[in-house]
Amino acid sequence: MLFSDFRKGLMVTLKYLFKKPVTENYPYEKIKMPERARWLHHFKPEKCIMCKMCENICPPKCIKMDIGKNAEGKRELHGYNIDSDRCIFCGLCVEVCPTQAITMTDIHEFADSNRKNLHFNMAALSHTGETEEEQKKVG
Amino acid sequence: MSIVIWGIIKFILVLTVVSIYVLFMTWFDRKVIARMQNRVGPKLIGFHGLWQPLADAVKSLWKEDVMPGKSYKFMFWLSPIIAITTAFAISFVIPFAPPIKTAGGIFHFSVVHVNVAILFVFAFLGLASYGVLYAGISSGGSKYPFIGAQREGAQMISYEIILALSILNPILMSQSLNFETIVAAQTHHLWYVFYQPVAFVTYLMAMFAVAGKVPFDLPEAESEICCGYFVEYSGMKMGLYPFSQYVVVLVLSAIMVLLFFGGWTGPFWSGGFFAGLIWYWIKVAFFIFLFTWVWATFPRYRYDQLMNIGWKILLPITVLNIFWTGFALTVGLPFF
Repeated sequence: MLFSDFRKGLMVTLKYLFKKPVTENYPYEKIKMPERARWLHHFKPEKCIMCKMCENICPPKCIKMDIGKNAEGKRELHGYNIDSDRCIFCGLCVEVCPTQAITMTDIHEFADSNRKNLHFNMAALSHTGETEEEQKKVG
Repeated sequence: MSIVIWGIIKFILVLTVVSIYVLFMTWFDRKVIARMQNRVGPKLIGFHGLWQPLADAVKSLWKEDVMPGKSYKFMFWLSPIIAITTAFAISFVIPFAPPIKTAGGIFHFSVVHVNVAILFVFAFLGLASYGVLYAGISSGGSKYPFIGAQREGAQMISYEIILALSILNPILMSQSLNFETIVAAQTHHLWYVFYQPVAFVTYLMAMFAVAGKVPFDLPEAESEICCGYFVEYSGMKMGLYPFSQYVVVLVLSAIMVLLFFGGWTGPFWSGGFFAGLIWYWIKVAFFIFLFTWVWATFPRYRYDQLMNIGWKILLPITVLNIFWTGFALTVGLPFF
């Protein structure tokens, strides 16, 4: 048929005119994160065995562990800092952790104009995902 | 005297209506193309982003007016005015509604009702390309505007011939250059699109090229020469070029409807002023939508393809079609 290529092309665009757009209405409606989304870390100090595997595997070296000794002379975790400014959210620290002390939440809206607010210490990391809904995803 | 007063009233009315049409046409274009590409388009300002064009207009009025140092200042300043004036001048001979019979004669809904309306349209379509040509040449040797202006010149020369030759067929059949007479001639028998399908197709293709719209938007090819002839313009001066282009789109769609689709006559429920008005604007709106639709669908033709289509395919076809129409009219074939 004459001009069938034009007709086919026009019909494709006409079909999409009446379809729902795929754009998310993002800042007004929150995006639902996929099930295994890798975002801000959650840390459980009581589970940590101080093997330092997460610190070693971290590609941008953003995890800093501070391991000292307590009064009895045993190893003790003094500090656990994640510089999420540098973190690439690859999830290798979560994969490598033998006790699942470090996990990832789906909290992703923590952009800040000050870099220092992106440095999370142990206290802050153990309180990420405080609300019930977030806690479910902490895993 | 009353003719002058009516002329001024109609002039202001058409100027206002067409300006508002252009404003909301930019919204319509963006919205429809966005939906065709699975996006949302403007949506924040007003109901479904309906006030977006007003926001854009306000923004562009406050923009700094940059003028290149090497430009020919006067021509640089004049060329957007030429573009917008000629575009509006064409719209003044287009009837915007069916004529009504009054006690004092027939009242026409075009600003200027002349018997040579089609000649007037072609004269000013030719002049409209000067706005683009001067913009490219006066931009002070800037390369993209210059290339855009060259392309505009070549494209207009090629495609206005085809536009004129395809319009010649309805003119031959109705023996008139007056839009209202041509429409009246179509009420006696079928619309001219059924007698002149070839002229309709060639007019359709030439229409896109003369308006400078996709797939023949070579003068302002965004991806090649980044908006071509108005690269050096800023603010409202730049805005006047798309503005005039939308007016040309309206005018060419209206001419298409008047010449090939019987203007304000409809297949049913015709006769009467409002029926005619509604039929007329439904048909014009379809062709305006067609410009947007094609824009969202097709890529751009290459320059050599444009010339091949124009001179090697469309020109022989239109010339042969005119011979056929003349033959059919002379012999008096039953369907003519």
